[in-house]
Amino acid sequence: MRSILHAALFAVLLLSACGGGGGGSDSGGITPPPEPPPGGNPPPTTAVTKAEAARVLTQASFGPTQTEIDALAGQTLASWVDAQLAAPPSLHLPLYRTYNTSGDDGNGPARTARQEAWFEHALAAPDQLRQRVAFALSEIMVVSEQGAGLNNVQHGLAWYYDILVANAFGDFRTLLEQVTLAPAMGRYLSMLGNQKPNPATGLRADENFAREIMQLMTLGLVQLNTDGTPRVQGGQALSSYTQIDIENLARVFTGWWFAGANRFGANPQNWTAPMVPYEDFHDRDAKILVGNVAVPAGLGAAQDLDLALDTLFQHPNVGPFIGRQLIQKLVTSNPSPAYVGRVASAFNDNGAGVRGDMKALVRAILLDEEARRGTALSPNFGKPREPLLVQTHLWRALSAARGNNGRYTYATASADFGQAALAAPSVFNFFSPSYMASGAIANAGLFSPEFQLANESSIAIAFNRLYTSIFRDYAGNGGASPANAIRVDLANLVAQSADPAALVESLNLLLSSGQMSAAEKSALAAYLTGVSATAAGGRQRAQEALYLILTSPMYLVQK
Amino acid sequence: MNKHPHWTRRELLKCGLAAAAGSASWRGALGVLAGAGASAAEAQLGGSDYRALVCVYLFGANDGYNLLVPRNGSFYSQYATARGNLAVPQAQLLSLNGADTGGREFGLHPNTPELKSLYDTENLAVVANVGTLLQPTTKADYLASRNLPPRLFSHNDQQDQSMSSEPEASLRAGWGGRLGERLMSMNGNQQLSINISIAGNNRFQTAGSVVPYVIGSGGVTKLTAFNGTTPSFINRKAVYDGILDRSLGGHLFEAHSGALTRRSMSLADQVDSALAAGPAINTVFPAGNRLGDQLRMVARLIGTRTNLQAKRQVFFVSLGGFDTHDDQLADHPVLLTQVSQALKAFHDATVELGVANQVTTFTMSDFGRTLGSNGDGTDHAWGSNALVLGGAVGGGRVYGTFPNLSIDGPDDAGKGRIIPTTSWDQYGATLGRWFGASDSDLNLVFPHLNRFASSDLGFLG
Repeated sequence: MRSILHAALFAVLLLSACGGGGGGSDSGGITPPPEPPPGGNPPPTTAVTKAEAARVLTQASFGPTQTEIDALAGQTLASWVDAQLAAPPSLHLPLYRTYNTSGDDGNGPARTARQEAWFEHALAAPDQLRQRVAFALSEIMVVSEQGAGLNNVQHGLAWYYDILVANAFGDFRTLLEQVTLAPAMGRYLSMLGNQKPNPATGLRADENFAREIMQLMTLGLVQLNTDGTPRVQGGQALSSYTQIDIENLARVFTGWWFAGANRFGANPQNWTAPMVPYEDFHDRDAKILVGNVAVPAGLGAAQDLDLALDTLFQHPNVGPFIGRQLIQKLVTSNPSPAYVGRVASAFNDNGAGVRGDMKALVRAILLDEEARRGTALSPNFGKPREPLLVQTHLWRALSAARGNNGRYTYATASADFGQAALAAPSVFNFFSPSYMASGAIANAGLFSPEFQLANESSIAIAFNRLYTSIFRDYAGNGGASPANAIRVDLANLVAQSADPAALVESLNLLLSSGQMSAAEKSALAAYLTGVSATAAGGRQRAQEALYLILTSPMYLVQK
Repeated sequence: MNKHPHWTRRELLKCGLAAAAGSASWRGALGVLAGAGASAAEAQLGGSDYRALVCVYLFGANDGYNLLVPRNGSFYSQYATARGNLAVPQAQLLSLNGADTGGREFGLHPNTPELKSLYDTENLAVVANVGTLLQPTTKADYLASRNLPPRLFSHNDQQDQSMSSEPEASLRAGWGGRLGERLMSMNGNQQLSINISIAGNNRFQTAGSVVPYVIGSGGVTKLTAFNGTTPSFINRKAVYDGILDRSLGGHLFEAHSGALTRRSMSLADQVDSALAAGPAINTVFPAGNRLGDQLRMVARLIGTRTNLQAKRQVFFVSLGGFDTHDDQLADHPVLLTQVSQALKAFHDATVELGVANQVTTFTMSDFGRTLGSNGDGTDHAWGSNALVLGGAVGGGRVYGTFPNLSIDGPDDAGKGRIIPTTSWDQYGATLGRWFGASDSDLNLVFPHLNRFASSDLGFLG
């Protein structure tokens, strides 16, 4: 791990010396290296440039801001990541509770309040990396208000999301257990109220959660090498589990219901505490789990659960399966097997003999040479930006203000961008990790998960929403912008508008991590020169530049 | 748009075309030469008329054995025993006339009176016990794991396989896309895809050179930024065109985004104008019914077929929520009502447009559901019943082979998962043949078709 860290930081130094990795100019100078910490053994001068800072923040937050770019530039990447790993969690449920004091957790205002809490943290929480990782986890361990009546229990959804936030930098085994016992997950995938089989009536244990915890949250469909490549025998990829494994695991997940209920299957429903066992409804027969793990007869629900989760957790698939997906969500859609291998190895052993250390996993993902060098190593490095994160980037970069109600109220993310927190259309998230867009991308054998959301209709709707955010919802637009709209602050950009080239360069850093090509910059600057500097109260040039960059294919692909 | 698919040798091997791979003849074998399928279709049909297929995908796995129910004597008893507390009471079934060759009489779920009226007027048929198969499969085959579809009972895998008819799905293509490839040259407007989706991207309509054009049920979305004719709009569009130009030819993801954006802008104007100029649809569609909203847009688009020079079109719409692991008795009937009302309105709209005999609508779903109850719902299963609708359909009948509905019976793979007696390949081939594909086309669209006794189930003339 240390050698990788050194290599990564050395690579950053190389990039700084050569003027950036993406072909664009380095918009900031190289700041002097910090004093070595006492007792430390740091690598040589490794201060992050501003362009690289923007790249990091693109991977590790909901979008770079000038303040955070400046703060990160001049530190080492490792110190910034470590500070983020240590930052305390910003929780969603408590904020939701301040926004929704009505006592009704199922109506329209309740749904809006949960989104308000989400946007508050996405846009303003200091623990950005944790929030970003939690969001990524919410797309792997999916619970959604679009199924199983969960729309009516927004507090339960917020409580579930906080499990991801609280455990994003904890240990995976604990994360897995808390997710398993969350009532919202229990309801979504039918473990809540799942009963032991009854051969006399034909009643069987529900298999929904047993299947999905293996397929989507731990193992995946095929056995994997540490580098994420499938293990193959006789030309066929080996399955990681069978239907029988699902049936046995389904019997483990029996006998769980809300804490504090009058009895199994009855009220009251407690959506903000883990499910508890009701032993009369638990299947105590012997079971054989995936990998031939024998669970003896006579164990209680919690003991069975422990054995089952331990079994899944120890499976060699977990590191590469989860590691690869987190790389895809944060950094690049097509990591090399070597990159996946390094990340999975960090999951398998954090350097102190501990398996499942999420901090080690996240550090390995961000500090890896492949993440840092980007397209310099591989021409098709990168990933399509998630549409929702384009909106959060705009708002963060432009210091968007809360609405007149003091909140970040935005309840139409699903309609506008096809995505909203805990609102996926199914347990398979908004897009599949293995989606390949038809045409050249699929022909090249590349995954492009987020493009599963992109079609002629969706991009037009998203671009129109961005247009509104830029041209209508800005500070100072008075009544033309709705009272509770989230309004961008154009003042900084307006101040730079007299000089189109400078304006473009600012946005190049703030939006595109310094990666705009010379041709892009000159074409945009030339266009802006032709736009009146005083039009729209001096805002026109800034607005044009924002819109044209945010809707350009070069921006929409994160590199 | 006419670029032929770049298939690796490994993928061709899976397709059974290894012998032809690497030689010039593989392109001919694939029928990818523009017009190869189309001219065959025109010849078959004796002229260029209009035909449309409409795929209604019920996501989550529809419980087809509560949609169509055997209603008489021991057949009903068998059903009721298996289904336990989920069985539809005999007296509530909507009786259908006729019987199958085994003597079964059928009824539809009480929430589907519109489907019954379509069935009675012979516009609707049911195809029994359809599902994913690699070859005809018996219970003995299942127990011996002989050549079974991979990853049975997994939603996304079975969705993929039902849409692709290619179990390893390595070609990332669907049979609707491959069908479209063969007939797309019949359409005069080559910019607009032969396949149109009102339900987003989907594998079914995607193939090497076909990607579905996606439109919302409310219509086309135009870009506000360019929706004007003053110089400022024109200048802005010009600089954006330059941005899109520069996106091509470099990073593959950027090129993809650029091409998609360009297509969105170009087609938005054409389709929007065509819809505005198209006939009004007077048929009333059910309110608050997402499937109905989508089908209404399909009807409006069919109304533009002359303007947009379309002779062949494949549409895709969908409804979700069918994964009734819990609360099935409450949730499933609501969904069936939506399906029933939406399909009736759509059929009426095609009558209104004068194209009832030229539009065939068919349902698909991930798989069926377990006969037995898990308490208040069902689990993932396999074979299920599908609906086909249209003036050309031989309606008022149940096609295929209705299974024995006993748990642990001869057709049960275990726990009430009925083994299909008809494959999606056969179902799709019947539709494809009517659509205009030749027999050789169909063998390429459905690589395993020749493993089954019949490639024409008979429900389309």
